[in-house]
Amino acid sequence: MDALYWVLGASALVWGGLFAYLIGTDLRLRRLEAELDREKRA
Amino acid sequence: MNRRGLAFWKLLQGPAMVGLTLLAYFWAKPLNNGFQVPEAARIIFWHVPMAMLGLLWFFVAGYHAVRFLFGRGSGDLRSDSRVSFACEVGLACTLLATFSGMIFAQVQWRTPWNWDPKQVSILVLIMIYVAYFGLRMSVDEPQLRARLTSAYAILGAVAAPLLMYVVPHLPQVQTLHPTQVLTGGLDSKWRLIWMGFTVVFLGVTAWLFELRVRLAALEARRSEAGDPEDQVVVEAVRRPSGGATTGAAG
Repeated sequence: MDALYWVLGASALVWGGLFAYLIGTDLRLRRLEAELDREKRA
Repeated sequence: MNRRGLAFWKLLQGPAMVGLTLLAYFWAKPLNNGFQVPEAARIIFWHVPMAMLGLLWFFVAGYHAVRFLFGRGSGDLRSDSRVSFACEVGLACTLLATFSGMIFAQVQWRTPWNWDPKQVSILVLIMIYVAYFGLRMSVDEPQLRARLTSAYAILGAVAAPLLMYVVPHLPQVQTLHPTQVLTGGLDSKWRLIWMGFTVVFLGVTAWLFELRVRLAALEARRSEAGDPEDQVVVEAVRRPSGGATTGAAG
């Protein structure tokens, strides 16, 4: 049972890290795209 | 696309992954048909989708390569960038399939690498796509590089299914790979979880691919807006302005 918790903990770390990276990068790109759109209109 | 926040399909992936992981460990019972350690059968949930998605992304690369060479917008370097991004994702999936398979082989056959035909063919496939990036790095002129690597990516997309699914299953070839478990030995719970993981992994890789495409487009727009530090990047992603450099593409 201990091994199961290690596996689940490692999964949570790996997938949590990957999703944090994906969400963070996506939102940052979205912000930069919006900035460029505003500059283009201005 | 939802301009105010993340698209629904992206938001759904985190909870789906948590749910599927819990189902994989607490709902699916270990398999006893041929596995030295029944718990190790759960490798199916990660290893098999990765191998399938590697192949899928190599096909996506081949599709964009055909578009670059023969499509209406032939010579458009944005298609070439997409070939490269799809090869990156496909290679990452193939490497993950290989490493997860090696972990399983260590548990099942006491050695991570036993020169099984399936292992050899996936190694050859990895070398083919590593060479693709070598070819990209060896040519400086963007249009020439794009034409050469697109032709290579089409050949790679033809070779990939032959190496992964045809050669290891020829009647003359003996393999330890427990393919028969997938074709007939999985109950409905296992099939459901396996398909669920395949869909979520497809979503994750599609998200990675989309981010790469958007980043390239953003760099091109910034450069066109006059940011000199992105001049090198834009050269690689922007559509050629005249027809002279695109002639050989068709």
